Amino acid sequence: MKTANLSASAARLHRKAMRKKYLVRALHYFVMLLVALITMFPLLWSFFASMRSDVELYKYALPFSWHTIFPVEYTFESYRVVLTELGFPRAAFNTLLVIAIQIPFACLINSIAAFAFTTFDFKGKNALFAFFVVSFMIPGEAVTMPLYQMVNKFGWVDTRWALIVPGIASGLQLFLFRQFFADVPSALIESARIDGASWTQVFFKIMVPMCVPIYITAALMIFMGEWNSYMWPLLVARREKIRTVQIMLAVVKMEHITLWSCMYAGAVLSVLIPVALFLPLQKYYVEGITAGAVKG
Amino acid sequence: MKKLLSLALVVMMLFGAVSFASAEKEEVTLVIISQAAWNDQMTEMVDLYYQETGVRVVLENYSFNDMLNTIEVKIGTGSEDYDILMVDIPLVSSYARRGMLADLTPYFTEEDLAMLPSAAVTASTYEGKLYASPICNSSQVMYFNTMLLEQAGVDLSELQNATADNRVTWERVAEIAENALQVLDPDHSLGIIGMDFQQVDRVYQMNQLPNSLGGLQVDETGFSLDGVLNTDAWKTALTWYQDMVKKGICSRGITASELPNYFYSDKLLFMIATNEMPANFVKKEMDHWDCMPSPCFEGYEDKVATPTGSWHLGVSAYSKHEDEAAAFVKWMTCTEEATEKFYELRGMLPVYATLLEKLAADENTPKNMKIAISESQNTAYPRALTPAFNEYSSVINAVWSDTRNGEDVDETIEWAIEEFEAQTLKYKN
Repeated sequence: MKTANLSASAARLHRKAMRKKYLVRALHYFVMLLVALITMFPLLWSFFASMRSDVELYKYALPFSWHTIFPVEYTFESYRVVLTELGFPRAAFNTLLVIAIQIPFACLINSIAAFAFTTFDFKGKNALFAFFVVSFMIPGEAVTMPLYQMVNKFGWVDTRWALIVPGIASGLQLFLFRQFFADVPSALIESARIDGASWTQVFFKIMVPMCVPIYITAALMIFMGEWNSYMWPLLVARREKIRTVQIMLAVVKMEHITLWSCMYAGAVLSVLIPVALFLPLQKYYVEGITAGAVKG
Repeated sequence: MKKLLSLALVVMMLFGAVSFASAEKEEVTLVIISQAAWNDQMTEMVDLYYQETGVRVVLENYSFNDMLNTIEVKIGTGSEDYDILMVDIPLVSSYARRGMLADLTPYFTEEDLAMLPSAAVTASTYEGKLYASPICNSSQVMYFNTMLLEQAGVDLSELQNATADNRVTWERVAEIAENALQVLDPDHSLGIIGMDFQQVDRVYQMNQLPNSLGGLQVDETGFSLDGVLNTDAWKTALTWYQDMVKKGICSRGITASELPNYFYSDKLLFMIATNEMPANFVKKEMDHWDCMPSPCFEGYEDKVATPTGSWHLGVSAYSKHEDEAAAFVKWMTCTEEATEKFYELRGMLPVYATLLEKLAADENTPKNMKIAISESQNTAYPRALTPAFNEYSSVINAVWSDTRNGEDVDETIEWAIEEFEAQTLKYKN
């Protein structure tokens, strides 16, 4: 009898513990869902706003109701305008072309420079490195005018060169590469050198394969930077044929009127491509960013 | 030998003839920095110009905000790629002072200028020289939502019969709006706005309130607001506007790019807006509206001041084709043919005298355009004439914005005077 009571009591305790566990887990999921909803809300809002007319958008703004977010009449007119009249596909192609050319050059040049800073000792190394690091702390707008003058003198204005070349050398990427390379054991490089590997072989056969995450990180950073770049392409891409996504999207804001639903449609479309790229590669991105954060 | 020499001579002559012919055929192509929103109409205009003169004009389009930044950087750095600029009128003196615009005085005769509004010519003139010519003008009209006002039981005849000589007062508009809101949205849960300004918290439209009380834009030097803002006219206007916001008649927190949407969506009763607005009403299928002239303040019926000024064309100081560019500007802004065509295409308030007369006399001219023509000829009040217009507008915009958000009016005025003083020091040294 006593044993039965004990086991019943144990079962009760177990059930209570399980209930508590499920409750905590449910609470956990609820909080996560809430945070996710809060995070997703602006995106969802943009998504649904892109499928309704401007008039409807404001008509149902207040009082807050189901139709404040969800359209009464779904329409894809704004997508039609963005994709055909405003020329989103061409602008997206232009942006992707610039990025596709810029990424390999930027990764190569910045990582070679970082490799030199990590591996070799030379006079003024620290001062030169500090100079490069400071360069990425200067806001882009501050150097716009002199840079434009320089690019204009080269005759690059209104060509893709002006969109690609100035973005190749980057103090930030050089810094990231250097931090990552600094964590590679020097014994590896020394043993390769002892085995007769040239510096080029050391770089391409040891450093590059070992540092894939930082290359992916750098590539993603270039991608995001160029995809969202606004002021510089605005100045140097004169012809509509070579204009980039953000410049194309800005056209919806006119002097007396803003095409809100087109703006939302453009925003949704311009988010899709980076997200599609970012999601599968995000673990490398995090790895690359945190590299060198902790010295062990 | 003789044969050889003759042959050489013939060859040389042929070359000469060919090069002469090619020089004759050399086409001038002008590049104009233009607004993307005007692309269709401007394309037709430049095509027409090409047919008439053989001079090709290429449009380089930018969105409204981008165009101003682009001009600052490109012309500011002496780029020779551009010949003609679309210039927002208050920026003429700023551009001229910085040597960005070519002097157009030699290209325009007295007779030419007599065909343009004197306010526009004055605003385009800096230190006695003409730097731009107006392509269009603008004025303000008070639009009202007839459906909502009728639902609120407002007798529209008072509004519909208002004329420039018999205006409805601001106080009366506020009263009508307040009463209508009591019926339509007593607890403000529907978010209906009583009355507002299309370009809320921007110099262009908001300054009409103090200007209509006798207030000035800026002092004579163009670099000080002392004796301008700290006057009864400005204090009364700012306080009145703040009261309107506090009472919930005017909106708070809505930007200029959003505000017209409230009118199209039946969420705004009265809206002061540009005369071009009906084109947007058509696009948004908003057909229950009417309009009347801008209101006046009680006791200041003779002081009505309406915003004016719009886009001008100027020639870049770095253009390699100044003569051709000036000829295009003159054709576009100062010929009956081009101004009529542009009006037909874009419907903006024209500036050319004969066209204005024709439109004023035409029974088919829309009501909003007739009001705008009348205002542009009688009550138009130009924006501040100062080379520091960028600084001026940023300070005054902040004054309107802070007032709207409930800042103390006197403190805001004091701050603005000091801030403008500080920001214009660079022009004085």
